[in-house]
Amino acid sequence: MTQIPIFSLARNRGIIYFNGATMTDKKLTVVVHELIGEDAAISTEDGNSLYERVEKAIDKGASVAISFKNIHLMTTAFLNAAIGQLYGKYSSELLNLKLEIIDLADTDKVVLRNVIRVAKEYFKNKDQVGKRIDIELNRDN
Amino acid sequence: MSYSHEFNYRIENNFSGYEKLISFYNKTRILMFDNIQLDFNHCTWFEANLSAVLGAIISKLQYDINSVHFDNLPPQIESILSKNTFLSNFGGESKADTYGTTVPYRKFQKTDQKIFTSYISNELLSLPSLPVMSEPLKKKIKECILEIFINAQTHGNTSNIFSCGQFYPKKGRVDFSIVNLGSTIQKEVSKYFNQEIQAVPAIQWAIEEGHTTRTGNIPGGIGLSTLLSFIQLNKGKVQIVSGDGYWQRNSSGTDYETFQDYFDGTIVNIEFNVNDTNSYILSGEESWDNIF
Repeated sequence: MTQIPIFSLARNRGIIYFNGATMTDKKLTVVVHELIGEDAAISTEDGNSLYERVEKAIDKGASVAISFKNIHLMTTAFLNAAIGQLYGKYSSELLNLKLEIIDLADTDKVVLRNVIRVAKEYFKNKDQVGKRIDIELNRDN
Repeated sequence: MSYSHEFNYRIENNFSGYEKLISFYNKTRILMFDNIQLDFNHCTWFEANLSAVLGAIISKLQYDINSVHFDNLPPQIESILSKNTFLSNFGGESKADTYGTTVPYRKFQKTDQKIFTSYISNELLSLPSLPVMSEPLKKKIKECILEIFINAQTHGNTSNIFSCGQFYPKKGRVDFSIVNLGSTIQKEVSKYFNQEIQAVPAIQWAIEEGHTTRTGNIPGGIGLSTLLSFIQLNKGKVQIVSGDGYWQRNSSGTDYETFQDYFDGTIVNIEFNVNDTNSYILSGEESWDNIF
């Protein structure tokens, strides 16, 4: 069995601390179609279900592959809850290490990239976003 | 008590058309236990997708225990409102849609997204008169409409969502309207900033990528910008009416205006160019490594 390092995370700031421990390599594949029971990934609630599954696995030190096989329809509401929300807890480095997206159509990849970009900005500016846009609105008026 | 409201001239998918409907909403919004007559005697045209707006207003009037009747419907308007099943929701008749151009009027519970998804597939994208569209184009149309439904569900502060569509074969366009009563974009954005913001700037703010009034751990603010990017490629049109704000974008640019009256809800009308031959299949050349 492969031995890999385990990471612990500082909540909400995405800082990764290497604690030197090792663990058995674990990988979970979540098939979205099976999880939500249909071929359309639309709602925030379904996105949350996927988020919770991924969160649990990552927190247990496992790697996760999310399979979009046979998903024919997807909204950004679903992706924001399922993937965007991860940036509130994990860093890009950790997600690149632990998370894999498979069986996603090329057109949907473009949408997912946008969701990821916006989620990073959202959490980066979460505390200041109100003030910043307040200034923009006053300027526009 | 009895109140009669006259609809005049043409009620179309434009500022003037929405203004007429919002005026009706304002003149009747405080009525209770009344008998309301809608007089179409001098109305020469009613764009069928706007049944969603009229239906939302009448539904609210019925909720307030008013009785609503249609008077003097010209044959061509009665015909289209029977074909799209609008009139049958209010005591009238439904009629077969021989040419297959109407997407029926429906009132959904906000939790009905699965039923709504089937409605888009079965009633809109399966219209027999539509030109042959590529599967990716159909998928994009469906996703755009679902984004609006989810937006109404998330921000609408209401239990119902109303929709209706119409295919205009000569123009090669499908207009599809989604309406919710309850909160407006202006109210949501004003609450978020804790200051009074006018309706048009509030809409302009809300359509920008990454702008969301949500404050929790789920990011947002990408549904409307994704829709607008697609509509730009598709050479379609998006109209948003919320509060007293009117905002429209099409291939020739963006327009906005302010209504005299206030609409306590949001109307999103999307006009799709169904003759679009863009492929919408992207190359996916960018590396998929380290996407996070």
